[in-house]
Amino acid sequence: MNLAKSRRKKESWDDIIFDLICNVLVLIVVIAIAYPIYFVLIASISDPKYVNFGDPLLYPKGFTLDGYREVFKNREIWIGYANTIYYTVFGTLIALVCTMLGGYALSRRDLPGRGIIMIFFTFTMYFGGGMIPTYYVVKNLGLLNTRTCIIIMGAVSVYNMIVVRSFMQSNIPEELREAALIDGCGNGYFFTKIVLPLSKAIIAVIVLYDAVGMWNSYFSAMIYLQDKNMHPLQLILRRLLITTQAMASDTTIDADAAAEMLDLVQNIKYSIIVVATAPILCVYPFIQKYFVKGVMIGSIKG
Amino acid sequence: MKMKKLLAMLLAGAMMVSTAACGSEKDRKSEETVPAKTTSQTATDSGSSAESETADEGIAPDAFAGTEITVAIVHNPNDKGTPEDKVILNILEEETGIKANIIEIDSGAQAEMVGVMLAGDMPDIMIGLVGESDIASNMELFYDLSEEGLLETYAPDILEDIESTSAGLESLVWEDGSIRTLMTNAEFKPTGQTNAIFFMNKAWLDQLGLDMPNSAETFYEVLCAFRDNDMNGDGDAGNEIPMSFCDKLYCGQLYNFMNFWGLASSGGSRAEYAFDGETVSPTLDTQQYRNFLEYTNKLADDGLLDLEGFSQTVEQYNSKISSGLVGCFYGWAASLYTGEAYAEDYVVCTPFGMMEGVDYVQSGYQNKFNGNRTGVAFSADANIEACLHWWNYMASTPELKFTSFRGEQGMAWDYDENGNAVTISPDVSKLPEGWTATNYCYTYGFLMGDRQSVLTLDEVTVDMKVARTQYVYELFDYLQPIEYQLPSKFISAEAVDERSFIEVELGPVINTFEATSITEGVTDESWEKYLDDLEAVGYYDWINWYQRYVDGEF
Amino acid sequence: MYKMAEGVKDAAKKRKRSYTLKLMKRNWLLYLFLLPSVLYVLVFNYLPMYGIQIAFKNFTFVKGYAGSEWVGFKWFIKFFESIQFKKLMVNTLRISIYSLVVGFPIPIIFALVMNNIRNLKWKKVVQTITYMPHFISTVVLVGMMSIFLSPTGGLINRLLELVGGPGNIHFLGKASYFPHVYVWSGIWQGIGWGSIIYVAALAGVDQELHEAAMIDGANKLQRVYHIDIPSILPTIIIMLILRCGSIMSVGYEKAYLLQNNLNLETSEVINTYVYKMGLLNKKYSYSAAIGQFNNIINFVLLMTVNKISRKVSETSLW
Repeated sequence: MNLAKSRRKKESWDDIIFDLICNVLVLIVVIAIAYPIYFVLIASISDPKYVNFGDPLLYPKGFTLDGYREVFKNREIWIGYANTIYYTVFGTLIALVCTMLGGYALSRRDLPGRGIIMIFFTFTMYFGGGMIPTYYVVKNLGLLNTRTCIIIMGAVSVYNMIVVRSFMQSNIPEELREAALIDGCGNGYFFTKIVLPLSKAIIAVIVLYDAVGMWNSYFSAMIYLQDKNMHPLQLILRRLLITTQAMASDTTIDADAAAEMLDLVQNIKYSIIVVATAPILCVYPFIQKYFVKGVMIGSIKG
Repeated sequence: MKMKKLLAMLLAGAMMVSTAACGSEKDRKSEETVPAKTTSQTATDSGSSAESETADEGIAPDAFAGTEITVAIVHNPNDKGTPEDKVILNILEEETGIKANIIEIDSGAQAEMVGVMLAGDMPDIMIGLVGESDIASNMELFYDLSEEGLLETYAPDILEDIESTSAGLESLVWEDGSIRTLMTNAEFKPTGQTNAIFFMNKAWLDQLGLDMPNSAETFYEVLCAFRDNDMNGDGDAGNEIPMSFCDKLYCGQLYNFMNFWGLASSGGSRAEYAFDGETVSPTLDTQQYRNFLEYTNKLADDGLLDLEGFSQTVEQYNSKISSGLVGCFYGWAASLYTGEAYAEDYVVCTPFGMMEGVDYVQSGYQNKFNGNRTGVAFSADANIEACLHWWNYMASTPELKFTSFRGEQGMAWDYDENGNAVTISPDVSKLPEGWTATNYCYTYGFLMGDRQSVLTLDEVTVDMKVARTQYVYELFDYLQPIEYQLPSKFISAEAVDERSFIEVELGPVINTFEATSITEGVTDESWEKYLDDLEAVGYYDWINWYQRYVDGEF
Repeated sequence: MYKMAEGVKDAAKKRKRSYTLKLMKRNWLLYLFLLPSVLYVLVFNYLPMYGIQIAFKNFTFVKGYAGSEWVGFKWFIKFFESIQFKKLMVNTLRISIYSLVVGFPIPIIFALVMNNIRNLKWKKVVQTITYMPHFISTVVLVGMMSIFLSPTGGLINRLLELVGGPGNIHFLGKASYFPHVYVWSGIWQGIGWGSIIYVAALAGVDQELHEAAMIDGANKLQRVYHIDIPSILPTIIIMLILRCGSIMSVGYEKAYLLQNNLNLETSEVINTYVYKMGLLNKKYSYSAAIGQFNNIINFVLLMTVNKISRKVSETSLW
């Protein structure tokens, strides 16, 4: 409280102008982003005929809940929801463990062979054998058509590992570890008792990356899961949207069915986004609190 | 040689049967005034069922008891169930003793999964999954069905259906004499085949007291009148769109307009070459093509053509038409886009030539079958007798055909008072919450709508949407004669490669020139440069490739 | 002389080796930490790598991965000799360099600006809103763009009209507009999501530094420049290195969906070309070769930038 007060007193014209510019900039960005998002919302409850003219500008036009009705009467959606939550929770958990452990190990400058291991990982970001050989690996491991497969396939992201590594390199001071070492503190103890508490922000980022990645992924499921009862939400929605669109432009299908599908696509296009996104959006506020300034080094050093 | 004789005999037999069936069939067709909503298809259960029973005598009912086969199909998004729901599969298992394990492939993953399967996980039967090039470059993976007596013994009904087409079994034979696929329903679409149809707003014409245009000048005048008047009566004379199109819609592309200059393609593509049964000749360097570009550019310059057509989404296009803003447009069937409010307003634009001495030609062919390039393929390792028997059994009687097509008798198909099988629309109120009639057919019928084992051909497989069929009939005389269709034959992978590598280079040049010419105009200079470009990217080699193909050089 | 020097070297080597061994022994647990990731990568990334060879083969399924005949660099050469090669390279580089130059700094600036917002509630709202576009699928995004950018009554044209513009610009129908449309829609979609990592890094900035600087009379801008930016610089550099390693990868989906005959001149990029080749023509080997070509350039770029960065800033991937 005291600090805040003294800060306010000291505020100079420079800072006031700076604050003003910051707020104006943010306001512009927020409007530029919020409006299209708002458009999605009102489009999802408007008659598609008007939506395609960009007509509902500020409020829905031709109000209808058909889109949502269409989405929710689909029983598969609920199964998909359950599956997605399952994959997201466990997938994120495993991925987080792998990424944090790996990222920390690689951040240690005193780890012999660290450069080679990094290249070993980075190489896979660029070169791969393609889908077919990967499919046969999965098959030979007996993972085809299992839920485990989906969870495991997202376990290691080299990109995330690099992010964690560089974060720890710049945020966990070398001196801290040396001091701990002198106190006779081992690697395991140091990692769990000091590194992890100091890395809340990056853990939050990785959880977000992994959870959102898992939430949005459908490709593995499309290839490796045959059983429809295991399909995640995104695959089901994608099937509703994209493949229905493709079918509607299939010359071999009869006009009745095509018209039906065309209508369906139009109706659900925007409501699907809302339905698929709302739950994962709720994760963000929980993550956000770890991004607050000064929760880290400052609190420990003293 | 021996085989040919046999085939000839079979063909003769099949023709006799079908002519016998035709007599009664014709009468029925003429009195068939189909009500607007309930689509109806009629089948004859005369000849074929009797025939099949005798043919099946060769195979003991329990010959394949306990056999298991795997069958890969594409999963249709309209299908809400599992393979266990498919009525025909249970019948097949009971009657033939063959258990089919169905692998359903997500339609979004089709290309990937075909790769995976061909690389090692071949199912016994692949339905509607492999294309011509897959087969050409991987021949040995697929069972050679030309083995003597194989089809005659295990797939007599299918064989009979194939023989009754104009092209016959011959069209399935590869250059090395093998047969790797059998047709499915998709390859059997009778009568005329065309794609985009040009619709004119008749209500607007009547409102203005104008006649259907019949020349370049009158067409231009009509569009001007659409532009200048408040046609839809909303008080704004400026929001009418005289002519629209949609390049992202498979049947909405502007290049179809070339038909008015006598340039037509096989159906769903630009008229990039012309074929008169003997010679393949270039079209994109002709005066007609240039005239088409110049005329269309004039329309664009005068605000008569909706240039957003190049970029707009299908949904945007749809909205414009269903809001009653459009004078004429390209599409599949008018009612698909207009919505109920304007469904009656649009009619097929009467064909006419835009240039002196040029007649209108509609893309597509008269009396065309869809081709025979794909269909159902069998793995080289399959228990071929069981697979063929299983596949054939579905097509052995009209009842089974219809059951495989639309599920149990009484819901989506039934017998009419004459004892003929007809398709009916299932009663939606009897279906689970949220289901449409289409859902029912796809869930309880087997295979995608276009992938039945062969139905009794010409009589049955009339297009489902009546309106669409009528449009095609209206344009029937303008469709190209079937002789103008390129002969359909299988060629080597290398030959296909040669062509497709030229196409990859050719496409962008044509697409870009055409679009910019329409928006910005054609000058002598740009035309000359374009002609040079065409030559440079191998347009004439490409034309020549087709000539060699026709001449049987591959 | 020579021998002696060798002996010294040997001894140094030995000493180094024994030190390394000691370190390895002491840090055995760290190797255990790495084990799951290494195993995963070995099994799911390295095991299938035999698939790479098809770029140098004439791959057919009948002959399989091992059995297809070698054709050397045939497919690579075919690609280089293609009439479109130059255009594809130029288009790809134009878009990716444009989005690197504009799209890379913007999330950083945004994170810095947001970091200076004092009202916590407002800040949270801003963050939540700006990261939403990340969830809009490409298909829907392109549909929305088509609506907003429509030459007949699209929102952007209406706004332009308000400020005296022409109001009927066909944004999607002109080749020269395409890079702008592509890059700026990407920024719109990625600004919030892309800034998250920097927001997290800024949370780690030592507050004592700020307080000390304040006492010295530094204003906010100065503090951003002298404290915030240097603190998150390692993160920025790593992100930049990674970004440079993806310069040849302009995502095919959005480019493909935004493509039409009027903008083809600038919208055809390597990945859309590969997509069309692979999908429409099933040229497995050819598409694989182009893919490898892309990857090699990306990888070499990554190594190069990484090397430069190690020299200049002491921050690097390895």
